[in-house]
Amino acid sequence: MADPQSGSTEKKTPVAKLVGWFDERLGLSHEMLRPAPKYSINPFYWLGALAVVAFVIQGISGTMMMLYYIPTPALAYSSTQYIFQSVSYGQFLETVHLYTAYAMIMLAFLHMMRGYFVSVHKKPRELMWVVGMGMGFVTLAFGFTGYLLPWTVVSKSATDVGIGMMDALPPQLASILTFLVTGTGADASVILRFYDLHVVVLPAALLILLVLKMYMLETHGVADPSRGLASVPEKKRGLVPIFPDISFYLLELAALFGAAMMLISVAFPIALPPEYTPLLASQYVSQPDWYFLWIYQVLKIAIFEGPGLTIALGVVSVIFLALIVLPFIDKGQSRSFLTRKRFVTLGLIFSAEVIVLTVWGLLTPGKIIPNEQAVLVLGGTALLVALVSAGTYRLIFRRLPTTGLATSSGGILARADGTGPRPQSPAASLMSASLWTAGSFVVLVGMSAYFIGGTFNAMALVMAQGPSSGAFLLLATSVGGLSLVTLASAYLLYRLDLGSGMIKRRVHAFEIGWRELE
Amino acid sequence: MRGGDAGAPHTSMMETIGERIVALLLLLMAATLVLLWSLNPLTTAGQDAFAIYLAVEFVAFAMLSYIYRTLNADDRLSKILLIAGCALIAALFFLSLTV
Repeated sequence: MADPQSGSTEKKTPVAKLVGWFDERLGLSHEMLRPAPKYSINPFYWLGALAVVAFVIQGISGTMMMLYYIPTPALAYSSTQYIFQSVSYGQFLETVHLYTAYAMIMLAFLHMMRGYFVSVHKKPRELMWVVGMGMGFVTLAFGFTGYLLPWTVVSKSATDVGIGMMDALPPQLASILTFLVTGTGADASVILRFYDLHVVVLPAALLILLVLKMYMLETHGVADPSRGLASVPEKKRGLVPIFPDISFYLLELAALFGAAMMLISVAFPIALPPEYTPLLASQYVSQPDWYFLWIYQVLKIAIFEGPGLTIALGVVSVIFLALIVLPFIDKGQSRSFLTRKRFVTLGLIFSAEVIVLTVWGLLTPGKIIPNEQAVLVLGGTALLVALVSAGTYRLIFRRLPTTGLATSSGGILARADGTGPRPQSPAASLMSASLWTAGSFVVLVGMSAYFIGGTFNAMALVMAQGPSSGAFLLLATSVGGLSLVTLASAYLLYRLDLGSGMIKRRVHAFEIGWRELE
Repeated sequence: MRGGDAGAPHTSMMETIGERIVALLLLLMAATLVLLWSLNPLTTAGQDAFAIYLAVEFVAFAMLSYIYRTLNADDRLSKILLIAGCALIAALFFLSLTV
């Protein structure tokens, strides 16, 4: 951009003139904020920013709805119905508010998982992670408190389930939470508290945490790619100013996100469920909204019924606590997934379990899950993911060089003077060439799990119902399928061996004896 | 323009294309803004059209921002992105006719 002080006569576009006008007056292009690396012009680096955009859209749509909404049990539903039917663009506002809330939760989860896998929580960004987790919990609290406000049979029943769980907490904690969340326990007290939390306390808390996180982002800058700068093309390694490059990029992302929300609201308009009444609620299966479904599904496992609820809540609390203190558990220097096998596998298992539990919860509303079924599904998922992860690390990742990867200290700015280790090539071509192997391996593991399950199922059928042609057919199909998968696995291993020669060496060693080989 | 070979023929050609698209997008945004005020805000069809026109505004704004950012950094405008943006806007206008 031409310097306004230099009197440059370079021709400017109208947009450039407009931006220049604001820049000259607001000093936006002066080095207010530290520059960001060019490779951060990538949507995955700004998932958290998109969650903030969702928060802003919710703030705008929520403020408009506040003009008409009345937080009392008698009028909450009718005022919501009034917004739907009689307020200009009322249904649109309600729909956009709901879907941006969903998007905010989804983006926050993706932001967290991406951060986990690329190790942004390592030194010196530990507290950024902790604050980010706090923001995540506030986001979930937004969902919990906002869900009750329309006072529909769906929302009230689900919230009652959540409130009921507080009884299973230790008495001291339960009494504090009861005072904060439900007050006297009367409906009027509950809805007023939820409303206050939703429109005053939580937005304020989120804004404070956001300012804290932005301050730390400004201090530490954007993290290096976890596989080191060598994995970034040469032309993307430079720095660009926050204004206009990053700012305008974020505006583009925000605008596209807004457009997507508009289109989703057109494609899937929401309708208001019936008003809550105790009679109607008794005929309705209580089910929390999708983002709490995975927790609810855990609580529905038979072993956690009754007094076991306290243990279940303890298990969920431990998971959350482990996520909060992750930077102090995963303290290794390396940030690359190549050298973080255990944590990457744990993260994959966690993500898979959350998805499986959520889908499972959608499919089994109100049903108690038998213990053995829970062990099979959750254990099977964990086993399958662990096997895939172990296989991928063993067969593919171990071939990639681990030198020149990003570590928890330093960063692109720290290396600007040319000091420090020079990164080496991570052999990206080898990785891309091996992707087919990973894909084949995943398919084979999935198929083998399916056929093993089929075999056990057929054997159980034979034992429970006696021999039948159907059971034997299933057994024969499963065993046949398993044999084919075994053959395919052997072939895959043989193909892989062409590169390393590992199997050939060992077969040779078996034939001639290890001692001779050595 | 920030550094680089600002006088190269391809750059000036892309700048010209960019300027023309910017003018068209601004015109389109103004026209859509007028349309936004002409809808019935209480009917489902009116609300759907409102959401679609708002989406057009957002996409057009994203394109404007992209053109400005890219030209300002002396980078090449991606023809694919520009065509995709224009196609999306056209599709949204067709969609608005169906609600």
